Amino acid sequence: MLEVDRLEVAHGDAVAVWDVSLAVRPRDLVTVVGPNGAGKTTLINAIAGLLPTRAGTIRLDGRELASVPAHELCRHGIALVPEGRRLFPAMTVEENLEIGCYAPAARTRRRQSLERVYATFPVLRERRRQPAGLLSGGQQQMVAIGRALMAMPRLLLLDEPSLGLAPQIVDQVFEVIAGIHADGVAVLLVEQNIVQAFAIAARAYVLEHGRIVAEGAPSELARDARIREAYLGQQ
Amino acid sequence: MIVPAFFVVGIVLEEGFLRFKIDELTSLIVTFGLTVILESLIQWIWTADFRRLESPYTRVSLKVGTLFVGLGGLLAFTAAALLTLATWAWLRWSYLGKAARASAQDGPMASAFGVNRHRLALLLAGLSSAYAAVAGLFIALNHTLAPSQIYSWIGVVFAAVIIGRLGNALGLLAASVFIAASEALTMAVTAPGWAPLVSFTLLIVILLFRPEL
Amino acid sequence: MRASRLPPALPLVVAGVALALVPGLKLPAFYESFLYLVFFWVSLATSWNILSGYAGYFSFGHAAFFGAGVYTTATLTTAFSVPFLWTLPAAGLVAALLGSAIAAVVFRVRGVRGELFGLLTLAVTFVLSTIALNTRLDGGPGVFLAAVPVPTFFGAPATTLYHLALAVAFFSVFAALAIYRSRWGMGLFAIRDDEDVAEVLGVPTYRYKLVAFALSCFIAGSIGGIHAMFVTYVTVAETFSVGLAVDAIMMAALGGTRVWYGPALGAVIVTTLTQSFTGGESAVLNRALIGGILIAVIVFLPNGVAGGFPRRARRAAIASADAAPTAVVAMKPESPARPAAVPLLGCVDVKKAFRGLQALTGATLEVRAGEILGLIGPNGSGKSTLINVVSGYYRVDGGQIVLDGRDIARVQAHRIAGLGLARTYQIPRSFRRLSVVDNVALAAMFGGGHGRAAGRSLARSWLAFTGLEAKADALPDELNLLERKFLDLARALASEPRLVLLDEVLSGLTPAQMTDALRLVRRIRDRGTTVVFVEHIMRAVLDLADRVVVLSGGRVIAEGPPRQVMRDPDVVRAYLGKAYA
Repeated sequence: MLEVDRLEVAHGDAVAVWDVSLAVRPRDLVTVVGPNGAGKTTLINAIAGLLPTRAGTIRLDGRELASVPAHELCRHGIALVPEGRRLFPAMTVEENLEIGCYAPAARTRRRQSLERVYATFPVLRERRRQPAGLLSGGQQQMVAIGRALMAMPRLLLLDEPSLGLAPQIVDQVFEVIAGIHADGVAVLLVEQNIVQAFAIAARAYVLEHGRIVAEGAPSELARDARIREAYLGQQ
Repeated sequence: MIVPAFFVVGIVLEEGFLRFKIDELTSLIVTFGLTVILESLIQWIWTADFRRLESPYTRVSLKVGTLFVGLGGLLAFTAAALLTLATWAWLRWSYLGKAARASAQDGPMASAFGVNRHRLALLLAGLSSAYAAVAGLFIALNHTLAPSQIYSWIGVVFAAVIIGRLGNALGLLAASVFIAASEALTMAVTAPGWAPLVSFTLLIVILLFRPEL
Repeated sequence: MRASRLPPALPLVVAGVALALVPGLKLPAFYESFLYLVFFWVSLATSWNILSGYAGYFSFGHAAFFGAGVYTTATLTTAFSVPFLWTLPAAGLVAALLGSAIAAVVFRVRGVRGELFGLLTLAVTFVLSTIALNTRLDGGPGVFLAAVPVPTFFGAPATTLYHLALAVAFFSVFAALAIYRSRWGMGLFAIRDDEDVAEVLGVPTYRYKLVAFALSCFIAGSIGGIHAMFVTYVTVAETFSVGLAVDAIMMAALGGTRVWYGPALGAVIVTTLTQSFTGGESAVLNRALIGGILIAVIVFLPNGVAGGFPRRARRAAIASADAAPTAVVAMKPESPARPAAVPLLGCVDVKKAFRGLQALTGATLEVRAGEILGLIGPNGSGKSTLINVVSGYYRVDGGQIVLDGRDIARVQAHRIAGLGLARTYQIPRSFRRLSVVDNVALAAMFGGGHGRAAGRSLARSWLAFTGLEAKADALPDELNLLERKFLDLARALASEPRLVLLDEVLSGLTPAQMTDALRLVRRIRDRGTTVVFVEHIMRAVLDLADRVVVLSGGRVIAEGPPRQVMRDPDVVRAYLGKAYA
């Protein structure tokens, strides 16, 4: 479904990601882990169309995404839950969710989508008219995920959902992600927190300093010394 | 007729600004340049004399309770109130309005969910230009006109911009009414000329103590 | 901004003398009036530019201070019968005091910049005009000055005014030139490019802006006083006119706001064009033409007419400049330091929160003189915040920061630079419109306390140290990433700091570039400067650091030699979670 081939992304002339290839098949839950500064956010932002790529290709169902303008990407079935949530703080919870289905195709199913999101996150229904900026970190994360779900994506991109959240909330969030996956949505999850990510993913890639250094099933990778090295340096 | 024309003017200007990547301060200078050009053209076509738009509206006064209200002024106020309410409603409830608000708070994220920001910018520029045209119409209706009058309105407009940073159309209406009321009150209590002092001092105070507004 | 290539003050003096002699030629009165107008606009445009063009604080209230001068003279001569000449310095002073009072308050508020400053100054114009209109200053009908005697040293009263205006114009252009070539001017240009970085580098931003504004208002007030006598009948509407301020801005923008002679050039061009079409119907249209020219210039030559040319000259100059910097220059190692046990910097229980997010929750650590200390931790642990707080970029909410025995937690950023602390930025923040050598010279001047010439030559030697001497006259945008990072480093070093804080200096570099960078950092320490660096790249940390401090959740959870710390179970848990500890 999603094929990334030898991708290279740079910030100005600082190369952040190079020679990265990965694939997400329909109904997959794939995770990319790696230490701080490895380029995970850059990678996922490039896939979501927020950053231009310098080399390599990103294909969704065979279609090359580089030529698609940023605001049309959500029409192809990709939705992003960005790092740090990036909600619209002065708008209410419900308005934030509504922006999620701004695209015409999703807009017609607005009411059903809203119902599903409130069913998944009951606490949001109570707070639907509150400005999103006033919610706690965990609740904001739910709004961010809900907003992405409103776009009725086939592929959900998540960038470090555990960032800044208390451990119990992190558990909740990952339960939700697993649930979304169970409903049939493909998920590409970028995370620093290996434990949670490996618990729900079927396949994993390890990104270090802009390059993929290992890939495979989480259970095998967990024992791989390369992960420890990537995070803590050569021992 | 005039209003749609100005809508188009606004769009053309904004497209030009985006194409040439002109930043905010520079665009201020460019529009000042345009002001100078327009001022000259107006003076050339209509001379520098003061003129008055004669129309049946200007001579009618309505009796409201014990007060006499000029029809021209009443029309202006009604139009302003209606436009403000309509804008507020549009921003609050319509999808485009929400897109505009979202785009102002986090542009790239709005884009990520399908908002075409280029077209939005053009639309908003056109609207703001059209609103200015409406204001111009009512100014023509209620005041004498001369090319030199152009600059006397800048202060009011800037004041509106500062208050407008409240971000909320209703807040803008309320604040404008408040300022107009304070001016009128000042005029009643002391000499009329002091009125602008009050409003502009208020402005300065707002700017100093709540610049993030 | 290369002073060596600009014409010295001599042509300016020659022009001034020549213009002073013009009335002796007994030309038709038209020419004297025309030149008077030129001097008038040169004064206004140049004085506006001193703050607004140099420092980037666009003021729309120039008419307010001009008007203050006008009415000072008008009132003093008519109501108090003060001789005209004495009112001129008074006019300037009143305007300057007014400007200073406003600036003293406004510049303290960090949020008022850009358009807000413009709007606020515009509001001042309206306030002053209302005051003038409603008090005895004017009261409505205007002030008649025809009866005021004007001294006649050089002939007719008009000639005296001519010479006075020439004097003010000359003074304003001379002041603009002097500032342009001084430390003050460089500081103002730095403020325009990036005020916060300038402050951290040691530029006293508040003071510089305040004095620049006061000077600008003084000149506006002075020419106002003269103009009052020129027109002999003064009204509020004509004096406190926004159009006047706008015209001055347009002239400065047309000529170029970044050069000392730009506004004067613009004033001459516009006044000449205006006066050439005085006859008939086209007189009105010539303003339209000027507006059109202005727009065209702004769009295609953003730096004005004067700014258009130097860019091409500079590009030719660096066309021959060369490849990647390899810091080859062998400098004598100064007192190679061994890590002593004496703490140079100590942080005790430092706290900082942003809008509810606790970035630092009580960080306690110390940095010993002569060591290379690595500061690491997972994302969001507070590393960058700590650097920002220590360097004064942000204020702490609680705790102490002691540098060399002195608590700097609440000291203003530009003073911290003078105390021997410097930093680099994760994304290099150079002053984009200053040349490479000027970027570094600025640090030498304001952090190291050197004069302008000394600062420049010191800058060149620091550029040599980092291998950038070939690109000294280039603009930062013309450098590649590694070069920009080295520029940041050279700038940090130029103030001869005892402690330098490096914020992710290796991010974005290729492995080869990283080796170069690491080598340079070691040489920095070997010269006697203590280094604290924030980094993610573990191999580099293990390679470079003498000691490592680990932050997590805003506080320190471990410190010690690198390899030992990385095996500490607490640290492993912070990075990888419980399963791996």
